[in-house]
Amino acid sequence: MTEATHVHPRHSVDEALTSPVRLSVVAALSRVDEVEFALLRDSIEISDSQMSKQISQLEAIRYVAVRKGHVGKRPRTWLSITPEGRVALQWHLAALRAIVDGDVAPQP
Amino acid sequence: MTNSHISSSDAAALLGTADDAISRGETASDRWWLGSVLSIALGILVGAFFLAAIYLFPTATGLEAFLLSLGYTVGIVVVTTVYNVFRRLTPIGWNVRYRRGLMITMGIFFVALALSFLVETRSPLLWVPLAVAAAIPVGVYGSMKAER
Repeated sequence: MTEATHVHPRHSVDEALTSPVRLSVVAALSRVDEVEFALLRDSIEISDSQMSKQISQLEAIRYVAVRKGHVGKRPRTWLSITPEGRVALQWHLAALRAIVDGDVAPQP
Repeated sequence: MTNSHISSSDAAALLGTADDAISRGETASDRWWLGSVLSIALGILVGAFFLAAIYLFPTATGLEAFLLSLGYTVGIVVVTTVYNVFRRLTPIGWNVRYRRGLMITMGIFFVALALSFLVETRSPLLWVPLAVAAAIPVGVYGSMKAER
């Protein structure tokens, strides 16, 4: 009989989402289809430059999709979570809960 | 990305951060009413245009028919423009619900319009309920909130 290999849940943590700001962005986006950049920035209370930097990083790993548009002459940036980002968030939150609960997740 | 070293207290703090952000996203989603206004207005426009097609178009002159169509088009443009100018977020699942409602509305509209060529009566008892039936799906689906 083969012994099941167990792995500490910290190994399932997504490094990209260990930043509280990036985690806030992805978590907030998980509750909307699409949100304007400025509204999300105000909602999670961070600066414009910090928000831009985090969004660029999340876009680079395809957790967040960015859509540029215009309303009249005013440019607007729309943000949404990608399917990959939604899955990553679910796994990350599950790993965090496992760490808090002191669980050891079985490795397939 | 894996292999992070996170303590139990760090994990608890991150979970708190995520919960807070999720609730903020949900709070922001309370602006869902703008999509409801768009959906209900579109439903009313479709229903009104259907009644115009039944009662006004058959006897309208070319100019009158043009003005009716123009009024309908302007109505659609105004409603969608107001929505796009003031919208700052789209609640979760709204796009899918709205498209579903609009497809059903347009389906009923075209079936009822085809029926109008087959049935001679112009009794409001038949056509007004059909206009309402065409208007309802987009208004209802576009006003529904996501289940949590």
